[in-house]
Amino acid sequence: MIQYVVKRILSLVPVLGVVAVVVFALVHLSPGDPASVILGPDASADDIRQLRDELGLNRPVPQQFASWLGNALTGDLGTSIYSGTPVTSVFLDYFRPTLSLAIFAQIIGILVAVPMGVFAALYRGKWMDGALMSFALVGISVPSFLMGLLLILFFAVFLNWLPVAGYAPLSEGLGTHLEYLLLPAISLGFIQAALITRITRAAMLEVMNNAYVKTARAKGLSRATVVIKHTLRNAFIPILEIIGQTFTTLIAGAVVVEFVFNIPGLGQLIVNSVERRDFPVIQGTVLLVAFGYVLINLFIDLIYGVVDPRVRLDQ
Amino acid sequence: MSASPIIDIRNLRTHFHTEKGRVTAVDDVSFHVGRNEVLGVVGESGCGKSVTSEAIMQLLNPEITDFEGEILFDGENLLALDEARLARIRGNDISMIFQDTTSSLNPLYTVGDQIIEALQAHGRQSRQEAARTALEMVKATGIPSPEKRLSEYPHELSGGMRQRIMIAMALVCRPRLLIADEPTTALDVTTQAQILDLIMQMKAELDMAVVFITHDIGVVAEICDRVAVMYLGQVIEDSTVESLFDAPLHPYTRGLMQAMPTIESDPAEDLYTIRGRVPSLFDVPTGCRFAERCPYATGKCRAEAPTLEAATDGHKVRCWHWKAIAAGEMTESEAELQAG
Amino acid sequence: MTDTSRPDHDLRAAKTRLKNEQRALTLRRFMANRLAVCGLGLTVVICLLAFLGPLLTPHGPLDINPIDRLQPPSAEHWMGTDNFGRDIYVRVLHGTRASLLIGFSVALLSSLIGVAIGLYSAYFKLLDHVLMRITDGLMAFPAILLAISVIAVFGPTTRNVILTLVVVYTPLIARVVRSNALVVKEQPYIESLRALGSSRTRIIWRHIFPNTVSSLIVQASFVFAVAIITEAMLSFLGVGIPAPHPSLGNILYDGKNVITSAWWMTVFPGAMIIGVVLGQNILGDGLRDFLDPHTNKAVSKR
Repeated sequence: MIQYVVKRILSLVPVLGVVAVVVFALVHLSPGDPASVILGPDASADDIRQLRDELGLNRPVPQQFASWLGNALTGDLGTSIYSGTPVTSVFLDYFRPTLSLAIFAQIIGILVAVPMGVFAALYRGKWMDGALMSFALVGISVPSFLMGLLLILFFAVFLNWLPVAGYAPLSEGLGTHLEYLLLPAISLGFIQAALITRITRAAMLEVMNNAYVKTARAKGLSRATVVIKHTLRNAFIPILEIIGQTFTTLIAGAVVVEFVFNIPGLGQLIVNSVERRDFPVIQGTVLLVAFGYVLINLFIDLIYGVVDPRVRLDQ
Repeated sequence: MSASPIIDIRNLRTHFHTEKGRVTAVDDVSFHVGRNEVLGVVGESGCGKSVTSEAIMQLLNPEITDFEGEILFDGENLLALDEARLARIRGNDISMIFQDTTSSLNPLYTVGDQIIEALQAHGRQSRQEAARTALEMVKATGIPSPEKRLSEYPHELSGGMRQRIMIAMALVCRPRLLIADEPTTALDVTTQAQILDLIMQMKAELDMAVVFITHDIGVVAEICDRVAVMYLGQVIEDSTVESLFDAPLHPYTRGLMQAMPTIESDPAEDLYTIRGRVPSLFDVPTGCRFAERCPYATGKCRAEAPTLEAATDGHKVRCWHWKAIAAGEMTESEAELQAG
Repeated sequence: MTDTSRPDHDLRAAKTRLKNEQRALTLRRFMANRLAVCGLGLTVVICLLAFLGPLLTPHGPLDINPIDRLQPPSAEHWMGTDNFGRDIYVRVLHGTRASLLIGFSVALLSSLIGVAIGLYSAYFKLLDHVLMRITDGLMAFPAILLAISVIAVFGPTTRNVILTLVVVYTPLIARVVRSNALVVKEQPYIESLRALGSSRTRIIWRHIFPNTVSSLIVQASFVFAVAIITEAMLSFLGVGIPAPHPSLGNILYDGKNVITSAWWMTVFPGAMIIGVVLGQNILGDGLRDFLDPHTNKAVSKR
């Protein structure tokens, strides 16, 4: 197991390397001078020169990359040009609502989708399967932000239930926190649920073809035990896989949904930073989110190790 | 043998609804197995032997399968039972082992868990008791260091060991009937012999009946008391082993035996092969189902389907000409023609 | 002369006939796949609407008419007007046109690049290691965040939107092509081609590539759909197609501010996005069943 963990962690190094290069290149290889890009077209020559010194732009590019990477590895992603605070602390402030939203949406998605996928597989070819899968097909076709707008339209305009937008941090109590997050989480969880439903059904159908499912029935296990213990548990690996792979779409969706519901999360941070040309913040946010994706997928790989003994014992 | 059979299949028909239409995979099959008896069911793949065995266990998908006839287990018709009652019979009164040892055990659980689960499904023992019983059963199968094996996962065991585990799992509730669906086909020759020995030993110990499904007529001679030969969804010969090997009556059975390599057979000589191929279930011949491939076939064979008739006491055959063939009055006309 | 050429001619005619029959058969099989036909039908209807629909009204997508601000749907403005009095119907159709063009360009370009990456990395082991680590890295970025930052640096133009989406979605294509190519590569006939001295280029493009086409088409249709969604998100956040040019996303953005009074600004462009994406997804599902009846997965496994 330890060997497996070490191997998984080592395999992340090249991925993180690529991530770092892309993020670095984003600003430093931009056409023209990063300093003038950062300061905008109206900046004076003095200001530009000063910023160039500050950013170390007069040094050769590899050296710049090395020092940037070195700083990043120690958790220093620079300071926000707009607020002057370190990028990491700005990020963490805005990340909390996004994380809450993403987790809440993921939970809704899984709770809705796994039973739906299981039932669709069990009633394959029946009207139940058709209905659930049509629903899922429509579901993956409605972008989460659009779902959010439609929900607002429905709950705020037609039903007149307010408030539907805004945010309350966790410190105001879990109830209030979740109340404000409910509609955004449904918007985001909807497409996630649709996706997971499709994967769950496919995975269930594949597992159901295995001889061990027949063995389980031949032992005289109840239908529920056969489905849950000998089918769903085995189908969990592809389901986990899709949850890991869709982490980026989930965060991307969260960013836009926040914008719809006026939640002060990464979405607002990034849109505001684009308006303010606050490049260190943009760069840091992209880097940290990509890092989050890598961590989530590492975590999921480790869960495979727990769920599937074959993975754990390989090599 | 005792009077009432443990399992008595009467005129079983099994229809599948497929995309290409309805097929009848098992067509009017009748046979019975006496208590403590070993019945061999022999045939090529697609002859309906596995479908019959899964019909007994009611493992076929009920949404695409229709049954006719009766499967009486100890006098109770399995086809008329609900799922809950069936679950109590499966693994408890009737058990089954399968051919594919690689995928017949769930890779995510230890073999011990999977055996204990079988015991607990029939709710007779606490977890500790069940673990003890499982260990005893695994010991009885002759696996080396059984305690260690119980905590291992299927992929850590060899094919032969997995099949022993399957047997332990199937027998741990002391069933009265074991259905073994080609349990040795995927194993190498030495392991095959060991597994056969094990099945026979367990049969004696647990005093149970066995339905042994195989395409290998040689195995039948070794372990079975009676044999049912199947061809394209029908039983075409049903007899005691002695009677069958002394005097096979159906041309198909004769072909199977000639196709079997023996010590005396000359390795330089080609083994006998039955000509032609098994017809598709979608295209079942109107007359005798074997007529197209039979060296003795006549016009009558192609036009009318024979029934399973008693040739001697305890030996049944489905052939119009068995008497003439047995008496040597008919020759393998077409076969000779082809050879010449 | 005539004697020898006649049968040859006949043979050729027979071959063409056979080919035509085969084509007709394939077409019939395709038509029998209700899902694929529905998806294709929906997509075609939307395309026709997007390119011909604006001709049905006198309004232009940029025509401002302050007197007619925020009008509900009427005989004059079929989908109402926005806060500048512009005709939503025309703007939605022009926005759809932009979405389709972006979706199509992204699907096409990422397919071209993805096929090359997938095929060559399946064939050359060392290259595979390098390219697959790069695609792993690129897949770690949420498309939208990467696109926002690229656009923040390079400026919001349609071209930049397309290029960024190509970068983000090429790995999806490359992975599918690669996994298919790896399977084909292990086939004995490829081995024997190599033994016979066929050139690599010939083996890769003549023999391996055709076997990856069906899954490529399926994956491309899904990329088409996600590219349209991502573009709509970008424009909705104000970093996609720059105003005043209409896109489905920026109409929704304008509509968000007046959502309590002008439902039509949300409902109509929203319905259009769902229609376009649904059409692609149905088509993709249908194509997958049609081309590859055994697989049941939209996303490639690692």
